[in-house]
Amino acid sequence: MESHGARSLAFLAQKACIKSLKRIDDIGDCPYELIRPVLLKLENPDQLHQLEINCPHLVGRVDEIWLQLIKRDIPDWQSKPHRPKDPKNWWKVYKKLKEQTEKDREQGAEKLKAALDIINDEREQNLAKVLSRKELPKEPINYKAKTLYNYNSGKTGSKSGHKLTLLEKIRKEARNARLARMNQPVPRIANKATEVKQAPRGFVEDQKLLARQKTSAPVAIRQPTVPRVAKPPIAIVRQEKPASDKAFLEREERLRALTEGRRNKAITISETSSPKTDAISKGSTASQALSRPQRPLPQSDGADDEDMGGTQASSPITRRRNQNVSASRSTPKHHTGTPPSTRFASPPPPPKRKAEPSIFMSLKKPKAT
Amino acid sequence: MTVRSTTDSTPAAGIDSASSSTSPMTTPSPFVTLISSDGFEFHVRRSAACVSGTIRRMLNTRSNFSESVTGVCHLENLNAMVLEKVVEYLYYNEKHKESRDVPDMEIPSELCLELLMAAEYLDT
Repeated sequence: MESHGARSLAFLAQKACIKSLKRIDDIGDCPYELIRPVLLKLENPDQLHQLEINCPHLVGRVDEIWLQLIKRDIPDWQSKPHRPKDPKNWWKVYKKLKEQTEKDREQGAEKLKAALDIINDEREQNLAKVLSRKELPKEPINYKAKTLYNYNSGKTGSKSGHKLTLLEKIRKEARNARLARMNQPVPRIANKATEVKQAPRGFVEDQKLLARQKTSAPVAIRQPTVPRVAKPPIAIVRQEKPASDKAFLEREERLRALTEGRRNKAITISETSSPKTDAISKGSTASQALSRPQRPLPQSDGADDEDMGGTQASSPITRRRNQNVSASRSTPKHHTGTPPSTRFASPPPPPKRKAEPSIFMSLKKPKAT
Repeated sequence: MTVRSTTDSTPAAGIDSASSSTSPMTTPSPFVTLISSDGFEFHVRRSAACVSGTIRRMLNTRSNFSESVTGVCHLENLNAMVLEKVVEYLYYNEKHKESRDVPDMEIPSELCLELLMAAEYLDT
């Protein structure tokens, strides 16, 4: 190159050719020397091959270019046969060498991959793997242990309000300890007053009588009983005697004594009746009240009625009893207006009796009246 | 058809052209004609044309080429496009003969190969 002045046209032309080298596939009859600097810049062996085809005068001249290409693309070219005997075959040589190189490269890559895989496997064995639920070994279902599960709070167990917190548990323990003194079994406290040593006398007498009744009166002979008819509830006009008035009570007593003397000749069980009345007066009227509706009534209805009627307005003892007895039982029989059977319609003054009406009444002799 | 060269004359051109009738060995005209293969004529200054070694030898008065006498060179292997570029280069070269770090002339890629061959032919 000249130090000053313009460059030669040839040089400039070559420069331009190199610029557009990729588009050159035919150089006409341009001599190799001229185009050599341009061809040396070739990087595509296919293009070179095409040039060889189009411009046969290049064949044999472009060896160096082929060599250059081989040097660039094929590693370790010196160990391999890289020169064709026939210059026409440069292209074939190049191709062959290229393929070989590719194969070698692939094999090397595979080996490397295999080695890497081994290392990766070893590494992965030491890593923790995140499993999904399905991969876990299946647990056997414990039906007994099935508990309720609350998806919102994530708590299991019975839904209860009886669960105690720790504080509550402590309080409970303390309370129990405090009150435990009261829960201890106490040694037998002898309370003579409340002790029941024997059965109540009245009850005993009743049982004795029952037993006697059973033996004496066979079941076949049934006393005609007063048919118990359901009576409509009646407005009861009771004549309540003021119990507090003592003078009044005394007067009543005298009156009763008088009337009873008339009636009651046939008290067979006067023996029993008196202790019975004693017992009654003491206050064990409940047994009498209960036994009363069950008694088989005596043969004569009238006497019974009277008896029944008599009990209404009788002594304080009987009065007390009457009050205990339900109104529906006793008073309909006494009341004159309503009772359906005629028996009850008759009786006049309520006859007085000393003895309480009871099951023993059935054993009384029929009254003369 | 003839085409006048675009890179035409300096004032000195006019004087020389007048003296064409004198003897063949007198001062040659400063302009010469380069004719392409397809008939285009390019009138160029002699000094510029002589950048090309081939043309210089053709126009050498001591040689016996007819071109030296007529001052007309027929360049049969160059077509007009290429020749035009050549002429351009000739002037470019003459202009930058003394300077340094000359910017390179641009060459279109279509002509590069032919220009390369032309440059080889014209020794320039």
